[in-house]
Amino acid sequence: MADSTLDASFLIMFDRWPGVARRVDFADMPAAWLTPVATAVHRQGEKICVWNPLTTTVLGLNGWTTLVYLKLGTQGTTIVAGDLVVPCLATNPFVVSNDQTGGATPALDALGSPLAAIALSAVTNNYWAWFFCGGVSPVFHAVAVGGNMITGTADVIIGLVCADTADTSTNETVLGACAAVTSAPIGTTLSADAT
Amino acid sequence: MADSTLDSELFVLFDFWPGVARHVSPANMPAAFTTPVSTAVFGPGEKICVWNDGDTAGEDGYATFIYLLMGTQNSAVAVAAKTFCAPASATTPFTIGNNPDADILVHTGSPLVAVALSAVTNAYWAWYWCGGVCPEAVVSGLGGNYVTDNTVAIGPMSLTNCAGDFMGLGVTGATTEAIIGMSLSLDVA
Repeated sequence: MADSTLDASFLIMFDRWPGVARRVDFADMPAAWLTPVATAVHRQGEKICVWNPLTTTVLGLNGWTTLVYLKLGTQGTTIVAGDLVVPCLATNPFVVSNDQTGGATPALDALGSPLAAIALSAVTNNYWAWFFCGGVSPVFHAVAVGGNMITGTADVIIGLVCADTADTSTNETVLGACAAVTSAPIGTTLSADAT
Repeated sequence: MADSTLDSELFVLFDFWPGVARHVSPANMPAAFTTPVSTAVFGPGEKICVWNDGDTAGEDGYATFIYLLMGTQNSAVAVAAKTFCAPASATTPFTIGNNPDADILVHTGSPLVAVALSAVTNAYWAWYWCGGVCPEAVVSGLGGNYVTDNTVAIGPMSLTNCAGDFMGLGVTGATTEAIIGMSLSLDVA
């Protein structure tokens, strides 16, 4: 079965990353927070929580969203907004990748990873960036996250979703159904995926 | 199966205890916070979140501590730094123990887990590590090997009953086992 897609507006993520997020007003978001940087300007794993408003021009959900500051290791398929990443280093949980195999820092084991995050934009290898990790999708603040996110071979149904692997040559980490006790739910969806 | 170990820098814990932790700086930790006391000086379940400085020890990242009451610990295996504990009272979740066999509640798969910072006397209150990276820069006794049941794989972990008479980390083995952490590595065996 081919991969499918899930509208980001239907996804709510569970935040298990270490620590407690600081609540911030949108006006107080870090400067240029959507632009990845080569040198970290926040602590690794820093988290912020901000309100995501629903407007007539941007689809999504009213609700709180949590972002975590992570370093991208070596990506596989070029990362764009909406792509899922998981830890890729045994020595640091805050270095992530979307690559299943073959890269310099492939995901440790994406299938069922309890720690997962979603890119807000394209990210250069070894750059630091804010990633979506909890709550509703931040589609108001990071418009590019809106739209379709890739899901795996097992159809995503309403309810829990897990980190999964795609069946295509893209070889990237995606959202999938929870199929085993060793698959940690990383979120819930209000809709089935497109297939 | 014989027990095994997992290094403190190779996993993170998930905090499912009630409430939201207060951020504190390492310089503003409660006075003598590693010394258990017979009379509580904080509310049951109080939580604080502190930065663990990897330049000192362990991994850079946030760690969460929780204030709990030790019930009656396992007479065969005394509580010490790095001992896993779980609720041991049917009337309050904030009274814990380390006996996987004799306590009131079933420990395997417990979603509420806490790790002792030191030896603790029965019926004494103490802070415990309950979430995030291992705070070994804050409490040096937490660094090093943690007991596992020799099943830990990269990914989700649960609390389990080890071959020794204590609780440890193991791979999630049933739908009734809560995922209480993520391992970045296999255990050593």
